Amino acid sequence: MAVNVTYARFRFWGRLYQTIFRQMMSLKISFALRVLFMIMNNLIMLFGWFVVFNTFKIINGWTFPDFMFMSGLIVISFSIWSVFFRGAGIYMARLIEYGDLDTYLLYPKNVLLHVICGQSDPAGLGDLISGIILVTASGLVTWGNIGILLFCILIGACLFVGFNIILGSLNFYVKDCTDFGERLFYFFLNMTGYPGCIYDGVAKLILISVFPAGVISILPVEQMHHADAITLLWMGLIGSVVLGGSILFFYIGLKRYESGNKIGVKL
Amino acid sequence: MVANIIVDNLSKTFFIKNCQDLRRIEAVKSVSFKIEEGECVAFIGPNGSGKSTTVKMLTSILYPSAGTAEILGMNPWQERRRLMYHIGAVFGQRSQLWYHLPAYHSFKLIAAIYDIPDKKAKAWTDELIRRFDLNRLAEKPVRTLSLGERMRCEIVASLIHRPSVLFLDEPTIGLDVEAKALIRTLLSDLVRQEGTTILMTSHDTGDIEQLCSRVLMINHGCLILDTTVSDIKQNFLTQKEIIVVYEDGTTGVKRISVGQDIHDGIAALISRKTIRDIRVTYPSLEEIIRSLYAHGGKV
Repeated sequence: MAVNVTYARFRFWGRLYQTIFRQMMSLKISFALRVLFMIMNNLIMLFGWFVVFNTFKIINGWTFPDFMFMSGLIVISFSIWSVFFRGAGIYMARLIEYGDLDTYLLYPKNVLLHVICGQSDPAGLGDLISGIILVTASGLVTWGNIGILLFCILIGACLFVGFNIILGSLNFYVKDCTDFGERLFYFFLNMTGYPGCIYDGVAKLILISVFPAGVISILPVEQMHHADAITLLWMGLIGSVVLGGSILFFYIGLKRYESGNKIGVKL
Repeated sequence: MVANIIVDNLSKTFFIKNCQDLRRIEAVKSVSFKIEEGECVAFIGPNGSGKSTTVKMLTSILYPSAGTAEILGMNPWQERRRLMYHIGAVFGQRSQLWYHLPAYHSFKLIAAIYDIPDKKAKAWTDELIRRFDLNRLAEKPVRTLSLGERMRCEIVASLIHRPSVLFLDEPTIGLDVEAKALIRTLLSDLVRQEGTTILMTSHDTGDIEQLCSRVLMINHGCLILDTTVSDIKQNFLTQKEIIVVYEDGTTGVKRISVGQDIHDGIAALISRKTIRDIRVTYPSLEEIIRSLYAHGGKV
């Protein structure tokens, strides 16, 4: 029985992603352009920092390969959210804002998982490809620290997904919050995009605790050079708290959900 | 007969904040009814009367403020996921089909959502496709389908898990006469062949006359009428009209009560001029329902 239930669950997720990718591939040119331009976007963004590091060589102990590694790691974590859990964030916020969660509530599946897995952005594949290129080219990854890399990617993905669930669920509590949530997410993303070496003291403390952008930018680079169990545990704790808290935040909000009558289609 | 839907004193109150005021809106007030297995019931009422809110509570989308309900012996709010394997819903304005893909792919995904084995799902989906005449349409991207074609696909999508109870909210909204007739025939066959219980909201009296045996009428959140369609026609048909066309092309109309002697009415009309044609008409179901809405369930 348990095997059947597990099999049915995997079959459902498999079929869901198959449908999502089929929908993406049904618009092939748009798909290819988005992947290609996302790779170009990520590599061009790096060029500016290449010029900076080429001039100063070392900034607060960070070199250009450190920055490449950090960018690659963030982009890979971002792509996991973007490709597999893109429903968390703006899509979820709009469903709640317009009372469109009905379709998901009518299915016998976990509502939150179904919503967050129900969307994907092809550009995320461009992020994934450029992220792998950047991490590999940084030269920081060895067979000895590949486990730490995978752990950091996992924590990064948890933060992106959790943060987006929280922002998407804000509409349960405050009306018309979609735009605010989107801006807050891009603020979070921007904070992860600067080399961790520019933050120090209180700013660094805030970024690795209450506003944990630094957990996926500052700490991973440090851990790739000198891993320590306490920092890794701290990263795991932050990732779990953000993801767990976001799930709780969604389900408490769901009780306040108001269905709507908007005419629409599933895009 | 077994009651598939039991609703007892169901109420829903919304609180709407408007500037500094917190307005209390009682959308549904102590609604109670039972629907037997295999019954097709129309749930009607003017816009904003509480129809959709009631259906959304019964399908577990909304929590009630008070009262209870049982669908197939299950509580919709405590056993949502278990219940969803046994009920289906079509909301006329919403779609569960993937816009850029052929409907067939959505059907396959929906079968997986309901944990139906592939072989079983394929056999039943193919049967539904045959019955709903979707052979060619199921292979076309949903975005290229007409509204009527899409609605047929939506109904198939809601039947893939063979629900025992089907909730239809305006299933023929926006469709042309031909598409409406086709969907009514298909739903009528479904009730006959599968014994599916249907609770349907609609503003279209054609849906009610051709599909439903019973009518529940709701207005201002209260259930004001629970009767059969034939009873509505018999008990609420209080007047008829005698219409004559005179030789000069003008018409004369005389309205009389159903029990009144028709001779008097005809005599009054034909005494004026020479007549070319005469006919007696009864109010349509739409007129009766309009009158019932206006008089709170009484004519």
